[in-house]
Amino acid sequence: MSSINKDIRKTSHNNFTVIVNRFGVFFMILVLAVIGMLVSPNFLKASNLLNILNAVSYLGIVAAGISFVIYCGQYGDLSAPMTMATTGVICVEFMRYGLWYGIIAAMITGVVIGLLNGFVIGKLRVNAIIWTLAMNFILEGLVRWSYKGTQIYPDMATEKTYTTGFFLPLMAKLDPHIMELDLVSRAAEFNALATTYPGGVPLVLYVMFGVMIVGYIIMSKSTFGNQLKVVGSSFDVGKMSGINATRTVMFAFMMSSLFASVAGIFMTSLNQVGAFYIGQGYDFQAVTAIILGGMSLAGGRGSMIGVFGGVFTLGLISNILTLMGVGTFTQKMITGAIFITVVAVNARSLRKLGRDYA
Amino acid sequence: MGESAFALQMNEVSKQFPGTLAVNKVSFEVRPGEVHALMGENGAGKSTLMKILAGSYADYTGEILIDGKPVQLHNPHQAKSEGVGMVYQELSIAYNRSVEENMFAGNIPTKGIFVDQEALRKQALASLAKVKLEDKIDPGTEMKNISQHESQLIEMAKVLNDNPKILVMDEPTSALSSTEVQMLFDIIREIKKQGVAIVYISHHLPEIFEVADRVTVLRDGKKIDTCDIKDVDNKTLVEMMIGEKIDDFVRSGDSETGDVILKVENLTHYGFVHNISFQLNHGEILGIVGLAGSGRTELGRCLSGADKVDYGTVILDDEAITVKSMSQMLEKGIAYLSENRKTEGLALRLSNKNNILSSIISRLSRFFFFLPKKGTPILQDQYEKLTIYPHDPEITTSNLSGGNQQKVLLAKWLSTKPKVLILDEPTRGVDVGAKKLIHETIVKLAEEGLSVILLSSDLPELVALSDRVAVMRQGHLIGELKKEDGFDENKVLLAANGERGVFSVEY
Amino acid sequence: MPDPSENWGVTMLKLNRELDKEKVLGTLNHNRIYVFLVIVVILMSIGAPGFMRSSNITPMLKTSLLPILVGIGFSYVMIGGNFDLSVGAMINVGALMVMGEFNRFYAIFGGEPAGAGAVVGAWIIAFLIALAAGSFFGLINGLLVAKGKVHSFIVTIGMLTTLSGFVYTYSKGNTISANSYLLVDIIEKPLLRVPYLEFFTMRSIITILVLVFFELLLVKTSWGRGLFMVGSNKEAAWQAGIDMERKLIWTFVISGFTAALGGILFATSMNAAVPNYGERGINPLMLVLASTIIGGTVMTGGSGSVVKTAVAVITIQAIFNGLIGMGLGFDTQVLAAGVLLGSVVLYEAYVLYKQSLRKGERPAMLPEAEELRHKHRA
Repeated sequence: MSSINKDIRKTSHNNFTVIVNRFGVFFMILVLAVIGMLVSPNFLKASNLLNILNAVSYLGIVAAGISFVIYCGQYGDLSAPMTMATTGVICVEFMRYGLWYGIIAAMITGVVIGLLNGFVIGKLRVNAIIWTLAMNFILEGLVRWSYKGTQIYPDMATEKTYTTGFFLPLMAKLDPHIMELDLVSRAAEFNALATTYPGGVPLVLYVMFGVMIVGYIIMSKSTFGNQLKVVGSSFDVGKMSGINATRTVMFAFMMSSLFASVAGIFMTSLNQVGAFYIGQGYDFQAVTAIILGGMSLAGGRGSMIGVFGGVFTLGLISNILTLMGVGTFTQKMITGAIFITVVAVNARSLRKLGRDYA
Repeated sequence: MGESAFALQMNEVSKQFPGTLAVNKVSFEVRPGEVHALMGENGAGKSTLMKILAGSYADYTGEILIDGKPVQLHNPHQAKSEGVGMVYQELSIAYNRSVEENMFAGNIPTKGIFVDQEALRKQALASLAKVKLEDKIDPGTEMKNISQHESQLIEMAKVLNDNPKILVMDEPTSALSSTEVQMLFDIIREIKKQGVAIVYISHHLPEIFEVADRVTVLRDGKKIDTCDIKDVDNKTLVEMMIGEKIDDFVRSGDSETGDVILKVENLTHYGFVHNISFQLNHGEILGIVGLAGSGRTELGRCLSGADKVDYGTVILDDEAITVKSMSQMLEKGIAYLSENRKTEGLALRLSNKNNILSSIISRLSRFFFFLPKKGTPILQDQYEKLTIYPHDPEITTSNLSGGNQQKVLLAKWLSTKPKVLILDEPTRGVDVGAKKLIHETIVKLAEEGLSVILLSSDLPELVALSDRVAVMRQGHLIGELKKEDGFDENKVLLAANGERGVFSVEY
Repeated sequence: MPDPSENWGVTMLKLNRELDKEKVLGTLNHNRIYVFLVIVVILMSIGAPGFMRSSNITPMLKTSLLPILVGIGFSYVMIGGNFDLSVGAMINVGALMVMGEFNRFYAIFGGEPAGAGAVVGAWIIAFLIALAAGSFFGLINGLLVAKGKVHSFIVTIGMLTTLSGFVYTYSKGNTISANSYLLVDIIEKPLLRVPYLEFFTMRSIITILVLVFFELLLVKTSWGRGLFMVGSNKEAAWQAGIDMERKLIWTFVISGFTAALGGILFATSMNAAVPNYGERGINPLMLVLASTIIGGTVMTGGSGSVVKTAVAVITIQAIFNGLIGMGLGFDTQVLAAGVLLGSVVLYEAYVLYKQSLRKGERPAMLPEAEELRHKHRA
């Protein structure tokens, strides 16, 4: 048939786009690395590289989670910041029973938030941006209201804690002995989470890599991940392939909130305080990293490796600009401009190839 | 102006698609005040020809004359300004806007800088009068509160506002009840009197005889003939449409069918299909015919668990099943190939491999992990059986031709190893070669014991493949035609139109 | 088995009756925000003592002015079927730039010794620059969305990041105050010292005029009707020959313009601008998003009204205000706003979900479906 030639031509284009899509971000990293070396001789030092990674480790954890949502074709999870804050607060509340109680309670909270998001979006088909934004506000309201706008410190004096907390007054009523718990050492244990350096590397960096590896396996190798790919590419096709599409969407949002809760725990530990503002801005940054990493906003395309690339790119940009003496706010501006440019160029090139846009 | 005897002349118009010549040097003329039916089977080139008229293609060849004047129809606005009005099958309606706004979207009357609401209302009413809706519809109503039938008439009124010389209607009756069809025909006759040339695309024979003056038949992209409707009858028209086809597939031998595998009792989805009962045997191909909107697709969707089942039982292999979900029905062995390949069938942005395996991801998994390697033999098997081209499962599905995409879709469902396979329009929009191969595959599978429910509007296909044809009409199964009593396209078409005399069994 | 189409007349009668009911409910839903406002006002007058006092109503309405302005552009963008998440940053751009540019030009014109002429000239130039900046950033948003075909969510998130960096860089992280108090005295001075009418200041009148202008543009002109078509069904709009891209670009320009104007008026009314407005307190994005949706703008575009958005802003402010009057704190406000937004989104989504389940239903079969339902239940 005469369509043979056409097919071959299209296929080769296709592979090219795939390569650009998958590895474009690493090309960007390469360019940035060269610029970095030119800017400062300290750039390539192990300590600096570790700094870069450390600086983006929280972002990496959040982005790994949100990437599931974007892979699922749902634009993003804007409830991530408040999920971080809420789970951080929950962790502080429950850690008084023991560190693991706190961590597990926080993660369960994350899972619940994610499942709720996923249900509303996967079942009622609400626009994910609107719903997760609404969810973010609801959570913010809940946290602020529960704590009357105050912050909650892990080592807060017992008496005061058990009157201002939300669950704690309840727990104190049920179990009066709780007041006698050794809060100070518990708090020290909790606060140490973010400042432990096993083998000279921050614990949170191990966690980020752990989360990303787990995320990679789930996204690319697991049953769920492959169903997610189909549902992400087209919700209706997924549904008509005998995949429980609603459940799959719920799963994606659950992953997002679960990972956000992990980041929330560390972030709270780093700040040594549980408060509603923990995690602000992480949603937008994470989406930036994910899109830079080549994941398509249309869903079903991209991988965790790209997400890592995107996160690392943001770290590099920030590091290089710092080395150049550029202030934080100008950095933010430059990052935003780079993001818009990359997305626009990417959309243009994909469209030229007759493909969908970012 | 108007010197020509013809409102529309097409001279040797062709349109090439990659791999196929969809319209091959077609010439025909339409007189003013004439209803000119354009007939042909699916894939005969009707819709391409219509899109050429609509200005959808900039690269057709040949000459088009309107009122004797050569015109270029390279974009929709050109077509519109040359006096071509289109009423599509798929209406494009802004549902949360009012009737009047939908009708005059492009040129809302203004008084000074503001919209002249009164003039708009007046214009809308005048326009609605053309389709006899002025008393029935308040132009301020939102479109979402308007019935399908009225929406279509409104769409027609909208097109008539531009005073077209040629009005093209694509399957306008597909979603209408018989009363509504009569109302539509009255309006068409009215428009005709005003000297508008009407190109009427349909394959409902009785309608053609009722409304058309002349008919042009297309087959495989070529024009077969143009005749006065008086000079033809059902039989000649069908012959012209079907012809002596080289690829015409006739099932060899009388197929043996085994015991009952599927028994459906009173299957009901309120408002969609009511009280559907039938039986299906091992290795049987049961055709289900029905005009568009008869509930054919809805039945398929209910049976496969894609849509809700409100009432009724499905007994598969002596096991009574309460239909809950599609994954459940897949597990039990009922697979459904959707008619919407692009929106429900295949994720076009994924690879063929991903698409074919998408329905068996959980089956190919162990514990938590998806093991695509276990799918390799399945892929190979399907690729060989269906000769999917190019032979590379990693290629993105959107890069395949329509026929090969359809093969991929069929492979996707065959890989689930179903007991009952429901095929909804399995050969829509595919080329002749792929169609033949799909037909052969279906028959072979049936001989191997697979039971098939074939939902199709392609009558030759239905007649050639089916052991039995059940007829759906307005959400009900109203009867069936048995092969031993002999059925042909004509009979099936009559049955689908509610002619009860032809049934072997009436429900 | 009877042919259902034979009962056609009966069916139509039943349908008509149902349609009437639906029509009434539909109209009610269309105007729900007014009903909502009345209910809130009544509840709050009962629950919160002093709610209806002029000294309470006036500041409440004044707080609404900024979100009302921002809501105009936000609603336009949403009617076109997009989102503008960058409005919060646009407010800051307007606020900081009007202050910064005023100081710059005031100094150039000679400062205080140059008299009132320098003040007026500098303010005019500062207003124009700040408005132009907002419109310009909006234009970039619009171009990327309409011409670049990038999802508005991504574009405006990028713009948000860029602009929030920009405002900090512009202000060096500081609060900027204008070096003249002339304007703040004019713009915030009540025109009438009459209870309840104290609300009318230059600022509120400008806001109202802008609101009316954009409502008329939307509802009364063919341009606005065209925008509705674009948001409702792009295909239909295209067939009608409406220039879609240009309209969508305009919605983003309007959004940038009104958000910047909101920021400008807010800043001049306080004679100060901070780079982190919107990062503290109730997020203006939430307020505007909630108001737009509660005000009845359809989430997927194609329907809505800026006046209804404005009424929704006032309603939400009334709730906030009433909650304070009831002795509940700021935190309760945030919770109330969140829950309100969540419930409205859920309600809208649930209605659409129910509709989607009935999509493709054959009206002619409904009477029989009703019969069957009875039979099956028995």
